[in-house]
Amino acid sequence: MSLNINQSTRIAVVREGTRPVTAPGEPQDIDSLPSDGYVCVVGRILASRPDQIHRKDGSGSIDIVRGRLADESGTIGFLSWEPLEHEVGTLLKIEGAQVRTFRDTPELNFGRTTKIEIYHDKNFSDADTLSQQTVLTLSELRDGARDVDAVVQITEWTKRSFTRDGEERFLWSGQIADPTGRCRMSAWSELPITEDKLPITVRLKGVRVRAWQGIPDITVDNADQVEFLDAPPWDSDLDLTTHTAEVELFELSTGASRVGVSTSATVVSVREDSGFIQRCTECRRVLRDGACAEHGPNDGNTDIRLRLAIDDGRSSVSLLTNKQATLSLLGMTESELQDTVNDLGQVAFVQSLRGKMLGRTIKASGRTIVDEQGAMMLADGAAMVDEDAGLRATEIRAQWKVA
Amino acid sequence: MEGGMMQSGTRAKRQSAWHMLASEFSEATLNEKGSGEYDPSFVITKLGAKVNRVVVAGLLERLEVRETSNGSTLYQGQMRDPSGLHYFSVGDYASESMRELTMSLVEKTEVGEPVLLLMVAKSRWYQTDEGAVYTSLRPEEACEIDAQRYALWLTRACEDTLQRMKNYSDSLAAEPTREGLVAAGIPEHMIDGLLVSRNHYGDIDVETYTLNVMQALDIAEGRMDAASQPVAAPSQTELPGDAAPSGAESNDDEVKDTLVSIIEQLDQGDGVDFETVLTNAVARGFDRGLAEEKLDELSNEGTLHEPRFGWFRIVG
Repeated sequence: MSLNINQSTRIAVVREGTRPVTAPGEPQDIDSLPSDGYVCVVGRILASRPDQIHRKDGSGSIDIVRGRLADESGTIGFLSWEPLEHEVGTLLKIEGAQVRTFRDTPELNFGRTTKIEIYHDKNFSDADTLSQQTVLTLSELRDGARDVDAVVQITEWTKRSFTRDGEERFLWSGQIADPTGRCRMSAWSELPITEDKLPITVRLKGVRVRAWQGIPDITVDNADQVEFLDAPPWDSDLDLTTHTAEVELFELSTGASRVGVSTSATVVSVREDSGFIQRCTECRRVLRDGACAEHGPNDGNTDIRLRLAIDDGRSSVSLLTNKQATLSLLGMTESELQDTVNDLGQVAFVQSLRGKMLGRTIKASGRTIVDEQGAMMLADGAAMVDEDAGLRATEIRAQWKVA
Repeated sequence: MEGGMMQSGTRAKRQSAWHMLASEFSEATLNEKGSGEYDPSFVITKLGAKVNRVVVAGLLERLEVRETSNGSTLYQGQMRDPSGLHYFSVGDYASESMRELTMSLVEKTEVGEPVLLLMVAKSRWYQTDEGAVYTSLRPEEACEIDAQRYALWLTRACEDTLQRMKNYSDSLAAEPTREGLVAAGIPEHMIDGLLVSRNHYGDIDVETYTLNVMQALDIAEGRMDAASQPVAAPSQTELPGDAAPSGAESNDDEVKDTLVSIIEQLDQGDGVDFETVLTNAVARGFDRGLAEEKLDELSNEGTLHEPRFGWFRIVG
């Protein structure tokens, strides 16, 4: 026996019941929403404002409403393709909203088929309590996030001009920091900041986040999103331009990309291409066999780096130390390093690095880039950690009660 | 060096490395391999560590070069820590630097120079036709270390072993499900391993691991010399002057001990056949010719008997 399937045969794909089945109209917690699909949520509006989306083909624009919704588990941005008249603070039950993930950030979409109604629950937290959740530290910023509130210190601030469509335009940008790290901030309108006032502490409200090469960049669209504070809510003696937040490797490897962090872990690999390298004169990519993957053969510029893998038993991170960190770690000048590599040859040089570093604890500081290929730390400082085995053994006996 | 072949799609994330004493790794008989070609494989220990990569150290006890049947070169070695032995091999697939290091180590072992070695290695797993399982290591990178760094490695291996022992005992009281282990406070990286290890190994005795840890801490604290530690197998105490002969002797004893334990393990009542004994000895890293010779000796001195020609049993 056989089945004959031809043009007139109707074939339907029957979806297997492997998806989590959520009863329609059964609300889900905001922090456990899937990254796509249709959902039902109950939440309070924390922010709502009209916006427009311009059609790419130039045939006009669409009126939309953007905002943020919160329950006790978390908050999520929304985009409504239909008019949404409800005021900030209103508690809503929303059925048939679609979750879409933009960059790293999920967002709820309301359309014609979405059912939105006012919901009554006296025990539901008020807007002030819920909005505490939108206050983020720099360590929590994710690419694509909107309606972010944060308290940060501006440490550098400059005005830049550029020309678009023949018209000179201005952009203000600089460095910001909080005790969890550093990042950049850009503003499209002028803020009352002068060099002599720096560092200055500000409360940011409803700003958005973009990331450039893994580093979050906060965008301020209007001056009224920035409130100036008299003093930072943390120890005001903390110099955030040099401060690095100490973070466990596991947290770095699973969190967002961060700037101004340091970590300690075991060196588990010294890569063969550690030492002197040639970088593309155009893009700084490392040349392979004298050629750049993007810009073809070129003479390149000489640079020094170590490429290591560090590990804490739970996670592994690729560690790249820059020239200055490499030389200070090895305790050599550039010419001493050159002599060493010339004397030993590249293979024996790398083996000598392993002799110094493999299995030992290293402390490195710099920034991290975390993506789907894993985590990478770009270090501008690194040092081997000296440990006393005898002391450690005695501590372990005491801690674990082994006689 | 890495060649022009780049895999398409996402690169696999690097597997993290476990600090582990030899006893825990060598007693493992469970493995796991994903279905995809590039899926990592794991050896799962009794304490539930899901091991793809380790950081291990010890005294290099033996390192020999062997020509394999297809003409490639294979170095096989043994490294001892206070808890037992690691078997490892370095082949043509290893990096140039790893092979160069291995060759220089062969020279040192030939003249009996004691070498403390630290290696980052991938776990390997081997099962004989009879079902006996052996673990071994493929070092990726290694270096010679001094006693101080060995002591530091020992403390870290002890600490991590104690942590796994605690996770293991905490897991016994918990419901044997992912949710149960999460509720019992078991860290995420231990959960998958503990779920399958408990199922595979049943009740285990962790007392030997406590003894291993205590001995390792003694060495780390300098109460005992790393190079002259008492070990389960015949002791390795040797003076540099007569290293070669006594080294050879203890190696002989070790072959014999291994042969006896192989037969003990595999004998179902009819004895174990010649080929199986030798295959298993080779899998343990011994030279086939030497193993054959020692098997003869064991028969001659009455430790073994042959109920049928080519089948060996332990006397008594």
